Amino acid sequence: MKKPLLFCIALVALMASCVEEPTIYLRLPNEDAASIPYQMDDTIKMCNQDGDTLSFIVTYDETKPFSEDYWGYPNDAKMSIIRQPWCYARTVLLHCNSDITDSRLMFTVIPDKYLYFEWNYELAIAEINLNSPTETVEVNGVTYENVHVDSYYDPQTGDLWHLWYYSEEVGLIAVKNKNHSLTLVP
Amino acid sequence: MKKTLFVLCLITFFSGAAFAQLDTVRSNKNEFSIGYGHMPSSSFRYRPGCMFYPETDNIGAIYVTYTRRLTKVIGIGLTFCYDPIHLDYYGTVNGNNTLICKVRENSFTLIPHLKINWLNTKYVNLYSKVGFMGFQHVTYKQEEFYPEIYEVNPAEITHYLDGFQITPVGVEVGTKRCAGFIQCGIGMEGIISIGFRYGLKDKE
Repeated sequence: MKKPLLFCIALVALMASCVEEPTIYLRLPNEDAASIPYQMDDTIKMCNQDGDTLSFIVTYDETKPFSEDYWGYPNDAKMSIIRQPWCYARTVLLHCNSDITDSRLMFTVIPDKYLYFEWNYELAIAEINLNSPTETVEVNGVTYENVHVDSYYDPQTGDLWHLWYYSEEVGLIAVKNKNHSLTLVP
Repeated sequence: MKKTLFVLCLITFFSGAAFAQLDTVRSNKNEFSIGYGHMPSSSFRYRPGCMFYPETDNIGAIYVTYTRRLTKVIGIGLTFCYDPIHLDYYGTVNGNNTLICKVRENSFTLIPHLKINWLNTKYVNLYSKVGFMGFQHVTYKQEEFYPEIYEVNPAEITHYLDGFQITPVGVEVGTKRCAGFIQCGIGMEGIISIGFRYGLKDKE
């Protein structure tokens, strides 16, 4: 069984090697790229669940070809077909390296304002369509308008997996899971 | 060990085939053929994980071949293949699936080959053919319709040494001078191809 399979794979690889194709990427409109309001070297202050103030600095801001495999499924990709890049995405990385924590926040926006968010990878991962309806929320006594609210709860226990508030004008306002939280310091 | 056995089997097979020809009709020393192949490997597309997969219009490969017979069984030669391909890429523009790019691709390949006639009779010949390390040159002409929305990076004009042809079996039917043929295999001459073979008259 293994040998015919290997033979077929070799045959396909041999035949496919004779063909070159153009690469096509959907461009990222400036308006969509601007939905992450951070620029290189910007600093934002966030308050964690213990009341400590953390300074996050933008250490990475690049627009590059993107595929979903480069984002959230690196382990799955090894077990399946790797999806090829199909669009440009802007990725912004905020990093906080202090005595209290070594933490990072990563935002990636792709065309049509689809935003991926990751907090230290394991603390929170979220995907949100920024064309979806927004809300007005109050955090630490400040009222924010046009805020995207995204929350996930464990369907069985009802425990909070994560909750986050994001605004295209301000950026990340708050994110929290069962044990951790970050809140924007105005 | 397996490799040695395989080589020995090949030698035995071809030696047998060579001796088997003693009482049959000799092939022409120089022969030319022209053929058309369906689904050549230059048209073969398998791009897993691609978001933009083209709609293809494969015309098929047209090829010409020259073979010089070293013996009545073994011949070596060159094959030139031409394969024009039309590719249409579609994408979403304002919510509609729209043609975003047209590519007109032409593949030219020159492959050295080895041809083994393992049955030569008066009217029917059976043969096998292999060719590797072919020189392939591909040209692309592309037309973009939404450059402000989609970035299309052209494939480079390429020069490869991997043009190939493997024909396990081919049948020629006709006379020593002129014959039609049909063959199956994989490579630049297509999965199945038909054509016409002309043999130059040998000097006595």
